[in-house]
Amino acid sequence: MDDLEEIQSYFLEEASELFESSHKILLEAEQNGELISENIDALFRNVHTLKGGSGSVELNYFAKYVHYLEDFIDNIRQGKLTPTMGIVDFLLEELDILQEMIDEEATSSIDKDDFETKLNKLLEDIESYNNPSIQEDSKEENKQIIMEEKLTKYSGDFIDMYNSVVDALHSVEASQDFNNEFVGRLFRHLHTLKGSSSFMGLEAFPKYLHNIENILDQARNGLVCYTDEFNHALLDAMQVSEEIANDEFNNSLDTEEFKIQLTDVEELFNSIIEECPKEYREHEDFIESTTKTAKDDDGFEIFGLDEKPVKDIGFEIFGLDDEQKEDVGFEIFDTAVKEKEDVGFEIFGLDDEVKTIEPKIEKAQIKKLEPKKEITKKLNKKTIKKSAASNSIRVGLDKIDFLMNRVGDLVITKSMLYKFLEDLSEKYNDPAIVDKLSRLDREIRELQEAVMSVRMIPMESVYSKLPKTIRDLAKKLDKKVDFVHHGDTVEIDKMMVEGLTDPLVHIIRNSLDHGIEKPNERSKNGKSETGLLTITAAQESGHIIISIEDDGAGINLERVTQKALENGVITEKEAEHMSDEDKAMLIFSAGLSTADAVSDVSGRGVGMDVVMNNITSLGGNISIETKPNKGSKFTILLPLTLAILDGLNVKIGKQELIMPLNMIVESLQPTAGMIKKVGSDDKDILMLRNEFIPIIRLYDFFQITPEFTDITKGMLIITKITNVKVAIFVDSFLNQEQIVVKSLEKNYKRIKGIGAATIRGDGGIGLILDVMSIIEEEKVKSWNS
Amino acid sequence: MELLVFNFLDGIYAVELKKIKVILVYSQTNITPLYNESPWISGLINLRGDVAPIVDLRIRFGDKEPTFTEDTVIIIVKTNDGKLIGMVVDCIEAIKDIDITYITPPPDLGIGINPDYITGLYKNGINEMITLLDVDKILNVEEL
Repeated sequence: MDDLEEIQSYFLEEASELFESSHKILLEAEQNGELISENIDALFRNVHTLKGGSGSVELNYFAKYVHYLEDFIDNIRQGKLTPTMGIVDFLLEELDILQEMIDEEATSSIDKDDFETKLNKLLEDIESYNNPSIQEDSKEENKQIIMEEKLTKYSGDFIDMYNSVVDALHSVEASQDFNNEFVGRLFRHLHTLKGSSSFMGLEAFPKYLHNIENILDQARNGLVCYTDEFNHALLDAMQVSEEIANDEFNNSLDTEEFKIQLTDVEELFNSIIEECPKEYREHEDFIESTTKTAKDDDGFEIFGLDEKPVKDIGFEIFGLDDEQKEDVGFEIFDTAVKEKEDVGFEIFGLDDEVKTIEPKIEKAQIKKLEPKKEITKKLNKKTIKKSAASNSIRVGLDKIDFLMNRVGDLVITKSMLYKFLEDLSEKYNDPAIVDKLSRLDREIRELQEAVMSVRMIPMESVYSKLPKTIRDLAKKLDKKVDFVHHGDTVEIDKMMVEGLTDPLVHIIRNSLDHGIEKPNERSKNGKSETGLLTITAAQESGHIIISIEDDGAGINLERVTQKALENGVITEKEAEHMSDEDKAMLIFSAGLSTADAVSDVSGRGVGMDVVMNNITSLGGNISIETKPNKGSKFTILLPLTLAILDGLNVKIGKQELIMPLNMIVESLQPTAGMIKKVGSDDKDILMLRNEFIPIIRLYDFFQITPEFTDITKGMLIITKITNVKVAIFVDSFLNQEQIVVKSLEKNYKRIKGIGAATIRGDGGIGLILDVMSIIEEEKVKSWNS
Repeated sequence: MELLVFNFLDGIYAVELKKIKVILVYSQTNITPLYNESPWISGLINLRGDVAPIVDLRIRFGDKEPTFTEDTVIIIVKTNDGKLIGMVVDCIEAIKDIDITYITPPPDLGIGINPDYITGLYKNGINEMITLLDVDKILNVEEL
């Protein structure tokens, strides 16, 4: 190593420290929203040292580049330039370039042309910041860069959400079934789309959606009727919104035009709403209720909004009498016919009315929304849809499920072949067969793991979206929040993630908006100005438990109850008997919001409703703990639909069952002295060291004939659930294996004591014990006895 | 309407063909028994990687000790709520295309099966009656 190289390596070490310190300063500035002068000085010193040092160790390109940057920072230092957040972002990027450059030059791999381009870009950027007229553009450009990042990251989700709204509109256009449930669902979709778009940094788009949402809200509350015309208008409006989003993503939004678009949409809907007579609305409700009850029977669907004439009367009666049968005997035909005629008559009457209304609507001056058609302009742009095509593809989960099941079949076929060839090789005793078989075995196992891993992703990927969301939201709400997350490596089913992200964002939004107080309020209450939001994920007893905790004001239970009473969610009497926990759960009721004003952050009471819907549809559960002035904690309990589980095969009589390994604390074969009896003689207690552990005889629970009824002959498995230990008695243990959990509820229902099932090597079903429910059942039994 | 016609309890029954996913031979199916469930739940099977419950229709409708032969089959149907459930019956008879206008509703009296479980009766030939089962009601998992 010659002298220069040695000095260079010293400098490189120093440089990396300087970079680190500069990074820290800038990130801090980004977090606090300002770059204080003290830090500007430090930054300047760092850059100055970099310049001087690099010059002396002959890193000339680097020195030249830093020189311009130093000048730029000097300008800030002298107050000629205000360090905006745009500049902080710019400097952070420049630091990255510098680090790259110094590495390149030190390893003598710097590309001269590349350097020139970079330098020119730097000079241009600096020029734009120094020259205010260009500065505006550059800032915009910067914003665009950030937006593009977000765009590529979230555009898939965004497009999905957008499509779910449009698809809903299209499908209802075909079915013409504008019932309340549909409007509610549409509203929720739109609400979610609005919320997430504003997190992506869009401004005009959510504003536009907010307008649509307002109108739809009126429809949802029955103030406005949802007609075909209304649906068309929504479709048009969504098309315009797509253009707005596209323009905004490409930074080419014309603010004047946007204003026109905003008023256009309002006018359009106003023109329709005015044309909606009151009695029509009432009849629509009626149709809705009839179609709903009629849904069960194919024949009956001829009524409703359908204009098909009723021909096949026999069949109709047939359809209806299913409902009637229970309470009437032989009279059924009469009633059925009468019933049918009544209904038919009313609806036909209504049909005419609908027809007279329709032309009126057509006559009205309706201003059609004209989507812009500047195709040439569009061609040059990167539209949302294009940028969504990145390295990954989106595959339907059913395809992965299918793949999973096929691999499962392969495993079973393999073990059948294995067994067959094992018998054969006894005859022929050929080691080559065994060798090839074990290779097949290994390959199938790897395939299985690979397919499985497609579905499982770490919680980290859920968390990664959150800090930005929280930061932006806190900024919007003028609040200070620290975000901490635990359990990044806990693996979660991809299917869960998609359904989980929305509820998490909603809960966080709620915590920030209603939970965590403004800084001055917090210090008044003796808390630090910065609130704390903690998310924890853990896998426990066959469930994934995710908790979201804030140290805010807690839920104002009185106010929630009051609101629930006002909205008719509960009655006075119910309220009297509700526990605090039950009251807190009221925030999940549809249409309940304690926020007085509706903002584009939250407050319509849709969000929490979505949370409940999503979590329930994942087969999960949610609970709330809240303390005034201490904060709230939301706990989401999710099942592991497709988790891999380590299980222990246990045997009772001829039956084999699977005990999840994570439930087992220890296992033992007890001696007679360890078994104590209490009361009647089938209640036993295990005395283990200093503990008394109740024993559950599994054969008794499942009513299987066991091999042993004497506890000292079989085995005891000690399990533990939330500090409660229980010993489970089985005949014996078999092997331990990794199994794929299959839901029982998909095709059947919950079974007492059995949590899930799996496919065994022989193609049969293995039952996985649900220790928690066994203990619960036993508890109930012992209470009753 | 196409029907799958089958026998159990000495009667002729049918289910709309489009509701049927697959038919399995009972003797070649590996059924895992369940405990603490209704007596007519035979157990669970592996249906191409899915876990599906099996209901013995014969026990469900009164036969305490049904016989199993090589003809005994499991008919897997897909219910309206998307569940795959198997029904054990004595044997498959035929696939039949019928005119729905000849289906008559069941009487409320004098019939062995709760009329709620029947969508209609069909007169087949001179002296044969086919009972059309409402599998969505019979296989409602909450009632199983």
